[in-house]
Amino acid sequence: MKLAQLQRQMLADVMRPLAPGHTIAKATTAAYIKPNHRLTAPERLEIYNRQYWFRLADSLRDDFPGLLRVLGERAFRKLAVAYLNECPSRSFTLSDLGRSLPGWLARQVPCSTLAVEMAWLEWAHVETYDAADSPPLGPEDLASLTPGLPLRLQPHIRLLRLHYPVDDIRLGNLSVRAAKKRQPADICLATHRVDGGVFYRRLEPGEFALLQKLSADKPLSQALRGFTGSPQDLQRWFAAWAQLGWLCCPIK
Amino acid sequence: MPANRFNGFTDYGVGVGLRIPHYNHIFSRKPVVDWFEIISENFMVDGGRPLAVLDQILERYRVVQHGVSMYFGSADKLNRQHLRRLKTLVRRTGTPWLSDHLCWGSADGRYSHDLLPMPYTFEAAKVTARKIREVRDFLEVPVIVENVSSYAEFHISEMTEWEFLNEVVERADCGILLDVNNIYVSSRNHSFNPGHYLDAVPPERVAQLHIAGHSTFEKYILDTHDHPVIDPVWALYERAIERCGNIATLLEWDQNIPTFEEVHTEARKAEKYLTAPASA
Repeated sequence: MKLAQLQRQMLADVMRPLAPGHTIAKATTAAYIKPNHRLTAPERLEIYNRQYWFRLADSLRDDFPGLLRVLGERAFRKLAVAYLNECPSRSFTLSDLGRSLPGWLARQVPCSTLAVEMAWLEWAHVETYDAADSPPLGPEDLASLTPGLPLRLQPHIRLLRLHYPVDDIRLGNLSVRAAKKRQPADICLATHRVDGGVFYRRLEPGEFALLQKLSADKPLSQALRGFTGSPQDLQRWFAAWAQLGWLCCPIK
Repeated sequence: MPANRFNGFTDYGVGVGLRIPHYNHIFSRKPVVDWFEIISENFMVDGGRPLAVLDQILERYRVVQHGVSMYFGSADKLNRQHLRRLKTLVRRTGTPWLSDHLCWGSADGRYSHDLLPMPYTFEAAKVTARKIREVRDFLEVPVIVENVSSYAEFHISEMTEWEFLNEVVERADCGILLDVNNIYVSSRNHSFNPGHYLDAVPPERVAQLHIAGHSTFEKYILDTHDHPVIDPVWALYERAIERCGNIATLLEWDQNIPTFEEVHTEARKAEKYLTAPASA
């Protein structure tokens, strides 16, 4: 057996689900793993098999604690197995493990909007935590801006349009049960970073729309095209963004 | 022998792994520590708290990078994105050497995130050594490989684990991070004499040592890094120091992590052996 062939076979066995009905094939395993006087070949393989599932499921639990609360222990475990079966890790770092989870969850039938939105929020949280940041523009920089100049949003900001207050659930301010009873409503949210910590900030719809355009590197004049709000709104938002350091150096 | 070309001719003492539960203690108390080992993957990010913490640590302490996902032994090609990010981190830390494991963990681009055991074949040694050389040439820093704990053996193996280790490091002309706890764990799981392993390792290539605790189950031992070092492992450590000299040593404690003082005190037990004459 060649190295690549052995590794392909063993990895398939290591990734086999732990659930009943998915036992490690004895004949296949015995063909490449030696037994010893205490353990059979499948038993030796099972040590790696269990560690694989425990490690990866733990990693998902760490990154998606809110989704765990929304779904409950058993449903979350089922979800983790199904997700990892369909979307095995393709990155050297476990930090990327949940990257496809929100989109994957949205494609499941039936699908809970509350759960999907929680997954999007928590993935945004993960990305915000260790994304890059750029030197922010201060009030004096903003005063000298010209309308044609593109502004950039801090790379750690993620913008989310939601229907359920998943931010409140994640922060422990609202129970899952109470959130489920609420009528869906438009919620505009940003995840961002202050002093290394991740924070959530609710946004006004106009503010959200403008930030979306700026995040697409649109020049200010283009971003403001079609804006129907008041100059006072703009002033207020820019002041808040400047204070939070959300705007950074225009692209040269 | 402690300072050699495989550890950048450094002479580091006893270090501990940099772990999140200890950040507050380290920043507030500023303990005297010879050096910290970081898990490279935890800091291969674009910004945020991980890099801010690392920069603070680098202001005061010496840092050595240890990786868990290069998978020198995988038949897959090296991941260029991984290498580029690692090189950025190497430049940031100024690590005098870089370690990762003699194992594999991915196939066809799918990752297990585990340290899977190698089949001890000449084909595998050749593939592994070639990749170690590629990594070293790309990163421009000495690369050393660590023996892993294992729970399975393969029919196709053509040699012992220590013969395989020697075959790889000779072909790659690289150093060794000798984990004496891993030798102990594997010796129990595969019924070999750990002393034979230790005596077969070329001392001139040993650039760093690892010590750790493990968990014992009914039919096997698991490398869990969640206990103090047991006496038989200290005995192996003493023997390793006798053979290799006062090599830079690191205590690994990754689960059920106690206070920084407890971890550091456990690590500093190694000094009892390091301060002894290098050879009997």
